[in-house]
Amino acid sequence: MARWRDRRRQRAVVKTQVAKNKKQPGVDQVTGGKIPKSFVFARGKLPGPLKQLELDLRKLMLPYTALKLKEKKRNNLKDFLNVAGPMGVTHFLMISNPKSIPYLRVARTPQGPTLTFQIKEYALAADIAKSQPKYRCTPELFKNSPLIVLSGFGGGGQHLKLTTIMFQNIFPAIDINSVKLSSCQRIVLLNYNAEERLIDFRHYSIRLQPVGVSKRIRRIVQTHQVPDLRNLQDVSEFLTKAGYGSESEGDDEAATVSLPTDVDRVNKASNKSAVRLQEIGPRLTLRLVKVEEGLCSGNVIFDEFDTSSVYSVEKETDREAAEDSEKETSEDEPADSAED
Amino acid sequence: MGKKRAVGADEPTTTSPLDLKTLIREHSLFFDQLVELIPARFFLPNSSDDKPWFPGLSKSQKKKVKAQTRENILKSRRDRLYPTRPTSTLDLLKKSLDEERDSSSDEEDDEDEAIEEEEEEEEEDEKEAAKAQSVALSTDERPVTYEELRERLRRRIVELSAGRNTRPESRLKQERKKEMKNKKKVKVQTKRNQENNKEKEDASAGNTGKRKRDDGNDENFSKNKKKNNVREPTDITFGQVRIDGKENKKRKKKLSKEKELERAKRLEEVKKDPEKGKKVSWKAAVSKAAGEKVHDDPKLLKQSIKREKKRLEKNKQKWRERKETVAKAKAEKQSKRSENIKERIHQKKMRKIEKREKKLMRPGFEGRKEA
Repeated sequence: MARWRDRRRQRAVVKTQVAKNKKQPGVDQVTGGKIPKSFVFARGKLPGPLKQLELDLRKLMLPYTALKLKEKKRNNLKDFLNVAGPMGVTHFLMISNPKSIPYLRVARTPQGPTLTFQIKEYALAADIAKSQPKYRCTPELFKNSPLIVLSGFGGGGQHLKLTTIMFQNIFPAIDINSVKLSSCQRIVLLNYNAEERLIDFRHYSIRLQPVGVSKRIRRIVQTHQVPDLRNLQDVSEFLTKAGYGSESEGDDEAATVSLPTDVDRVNKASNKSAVRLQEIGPRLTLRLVKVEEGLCSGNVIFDEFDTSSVYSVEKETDREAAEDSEKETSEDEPADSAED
Repeated sequence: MGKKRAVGADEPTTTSPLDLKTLIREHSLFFDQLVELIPARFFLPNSSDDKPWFPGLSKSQKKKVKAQTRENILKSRRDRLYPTRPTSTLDLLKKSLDEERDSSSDEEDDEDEAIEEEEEEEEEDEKEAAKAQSVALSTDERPVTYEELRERLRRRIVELSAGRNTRPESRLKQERKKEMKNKKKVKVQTKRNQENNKEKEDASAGNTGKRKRDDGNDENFSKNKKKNNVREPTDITFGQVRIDGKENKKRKKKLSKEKELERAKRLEEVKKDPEKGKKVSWKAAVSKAAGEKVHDDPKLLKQSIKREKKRLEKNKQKWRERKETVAKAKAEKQSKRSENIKERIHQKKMRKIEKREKKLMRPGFEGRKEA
């Protein structure tokens, strides 16, 4: 009886997207290491924007995540765990909203540590799309996993090191010798602000543009469209017309690189290309609040605040005030007992 | 003068006698230097009486001649070291010429005498100069000391190796290697782990690629340096990169499960201790986050030990059953076989009896012998 019920429950838990033609590889063919896969889901009821954020995060983690993960109200963490094992899922990203404060938990599946981040601010991908005049986001971008860059995490403190390692292992490793430059199209940046102890999370798309080539010529090569020469006397005018070069030509000295191989038609080997990042995807400002040894269980080995209650949102001054108040109460109690 | 003019007739008439003289002087210097290069015993006509011929002599004669040769050797050695006595080829040549002249002064021409005198004068004048020059060019008669030879050899080797060109193939290989290293340097995100490398080594992360990355990418810092010049980000860490694919990971010794259990129990106790326990838990958390399996939980370990025991038990049971069934089947077959054989023998006997009795079993027969 019980078994039947469990099985029915399990079946209702997860409906993942499985590509029709091929299964997702468990082991990276190139590097030989296990490819880390992730589940992004919500614990508890989320308001609208947070739900959208969850979807954005799922998109970010593509291709090694379950895009159409369906979770029901009655699903526990245990159910997810049971499914994660056979599917080779290594990371859980959980969004929750206790007491109207959004939290993001990043955990490593079998027994791994859980990092709890408080989401101080967030911007959805749709907002960013609207704020940009030219928003470019194609589905091909999400065919390869993003690269990741962390900055400012070396400052010290075990929790920072743990965070770096955690994030580095969420995305699969890259083999330098055999990676295709054209497959690196997205990048995730994490920046740690030491004064405020906040982590900025950004997600960009990468575009290479050859430097030193005028816009018109580039356009011809890329799109193979015949240009409009109506107003020109001579073809040479087309090529040499001063016109406006790329507006942001100036600040490209820092971001030009010379490619070792051809990336696509326009960017050829050993030519200089400018690296252009355009923001897509959600923007988050996180603060690491708690580190637990187990998967949402176990010892708390790092706590941002002295009191280990997660819902006490205190700043530094408040924390000191709490300490003082504690001291006072502890002083009061013996006095009270003495009185009694 | 006639000879000289004859010599001069070959040369262009426009040369003044002064030029001629210098020319001749130069020529004679050159020949002097050449002569200096040749050891005296080869250049000068050797007198046959110098050659010792030992075989045909008697004992006492041999002794004398050997003594003579020894003396000659000593004498020549002394002469070599004496600064004033003439030992160079030129000097000996001059000496021999003098002797010749003395011996045959009547036969020669005055001109020749004059020439030879002039030559001698020139020789004397230029001897010092020639000597000074020839010291640089020529060697002394005997091979120079080992040190000088070695020095020359070394110089020569250095010359040759400096002038040698590196093979184009090796250069290409180097360039290609550099290219591959720079490949990830290309985009903004060359994934490398600078600071965390050491921690990872401590935490014994499974990817030795990371370690190699540390070594191999120290040169590929230019992109990073550029960034540093522009914006001064102090530390940038990148995601995982593997340089040499499929390196064998550092193999940790695999302890048996019981030992792991003991270890885990010990660790649990250590964890209760505030300081050390913290270190231990952080280390475990870091390696777990990196993907390594940390056998930390004694409960789980106990479970797994139990599971393994059960599995072994089950396998044992299966084997026993299998043996049993096999034995049983075998026994069955054997028994059946022996049954069949017995049956067959029995049947044979019965058939024989029947055959025998058939004759006696016909109806109405009365003479059956029955026991």
